[in-house]
Amino acid sequence: MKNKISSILFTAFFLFLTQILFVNNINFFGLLNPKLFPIFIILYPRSIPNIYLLIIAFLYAFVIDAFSFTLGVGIFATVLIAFIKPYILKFMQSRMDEEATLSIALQGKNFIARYLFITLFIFHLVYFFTEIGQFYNIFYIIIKALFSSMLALSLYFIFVFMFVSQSQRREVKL
Amino acid sequence: MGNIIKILLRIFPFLFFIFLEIIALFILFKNNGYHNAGFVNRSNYIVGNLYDNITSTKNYFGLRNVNDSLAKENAKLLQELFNYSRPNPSNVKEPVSKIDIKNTYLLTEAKVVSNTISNSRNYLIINKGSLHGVKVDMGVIGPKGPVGVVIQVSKNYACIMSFLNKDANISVRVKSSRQIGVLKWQGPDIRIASLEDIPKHVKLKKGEIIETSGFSTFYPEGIVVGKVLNQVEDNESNFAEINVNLNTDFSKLEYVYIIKNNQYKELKQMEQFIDTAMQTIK
Repeated sequence: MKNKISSILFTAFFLFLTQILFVNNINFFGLLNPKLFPIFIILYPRSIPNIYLLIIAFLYAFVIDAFSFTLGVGIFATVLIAFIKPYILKFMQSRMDEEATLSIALQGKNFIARYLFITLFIFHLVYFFTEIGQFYNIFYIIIKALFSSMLALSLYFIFVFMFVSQSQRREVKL
Repeated sequence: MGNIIKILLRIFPFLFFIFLEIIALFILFKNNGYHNAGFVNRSNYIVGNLYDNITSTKNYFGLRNVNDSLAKENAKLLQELFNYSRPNPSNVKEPVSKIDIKNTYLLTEAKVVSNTISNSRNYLIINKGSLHGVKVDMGVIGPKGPVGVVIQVSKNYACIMSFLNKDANISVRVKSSRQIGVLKWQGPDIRIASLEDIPKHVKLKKGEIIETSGFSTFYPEGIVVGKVLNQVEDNESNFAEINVNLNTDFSKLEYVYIIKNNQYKELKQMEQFIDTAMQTIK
């Protein structure tokens, strides 16, 4: 139990630091602007009641937003992701009796990659839509969301395979 | 009655979700406006301090001390330059010449602590605050042109609305023809801004210099902002669509200068007077 909590806290802190120190500086002609921090909410263990997850998402996104000067935008998208997350999982899985934790070791690379891509794409779409907030460049928003979510996904897998060993991956929720 | 409670309990997560989203939108709109301080100070101590530490670690490897002294010297020189280019008092009649037009603009140097460029509304944090005399509405320029306007101040830090912000604009003119327009940034490219309010019949050549007009209280006149990149032929509106290549590279800002306009109060009073006069006419 203690191990689980510390691993969750570590994930939150690690994603927070990478987001504000490293990933926020990526800006390739305004097309690539990945957000890694929602992965914390997306891969949060499913044993938690939905309402608590909403509160955690709200507070976590608030801190990230305060540091990246986009107050409100991140909160809106993260809370939305926290809310629709169970429905996406229900839609993607045929078997309902799944484990409470979401991890590469338990569900496999393919499933996690597909699940992460769908949720990250929705997140980026909502995020850029609320941030840019204009209807006439919807095509640009979709392209930006697509590229950014693909980059965020690859960055996540790079971090996981770089910093987490195979045996750890089986135990820790990453 | 029992049924109603059951239904309420079932849809409670959904209601709570809607409630949180409404709060998020409230924060978003409360903080986006130009003068809305909102309830979160962007230049607060925690955020400013963290970015300050990171930047100073980065600067440690560069020639930090040399940079500091150079920035100070630059501030002094630029200050002299702006005050020098004001109209000559000998040409003006008696009562006006009595006004002290020396030192209208005072410059203070500051280090950029944090800078965003990837959003549609970008902000900077600098390491000078109310303790150093920085106030809201002061203009900020970089070594190569205007950077933004101070919108929030805390004790040691100040938050600047970057020019790379949907809500920001600069009053500019074409250097050769003195044609006046408004420069705006609409993204996503951080090097290109669009020049508006220029009539269609005016044809601008590529490479023509765009400089500040000095009509706003933020920037002195004659600061070069950028060069004309191209003029888009568009038949729908009466105004030309002109792309301007910005001089300032916002991704590499390190030191900026805060401009204090000594005649700010007078100009502001005059603007208010005009506003009330217009309202009474209506």
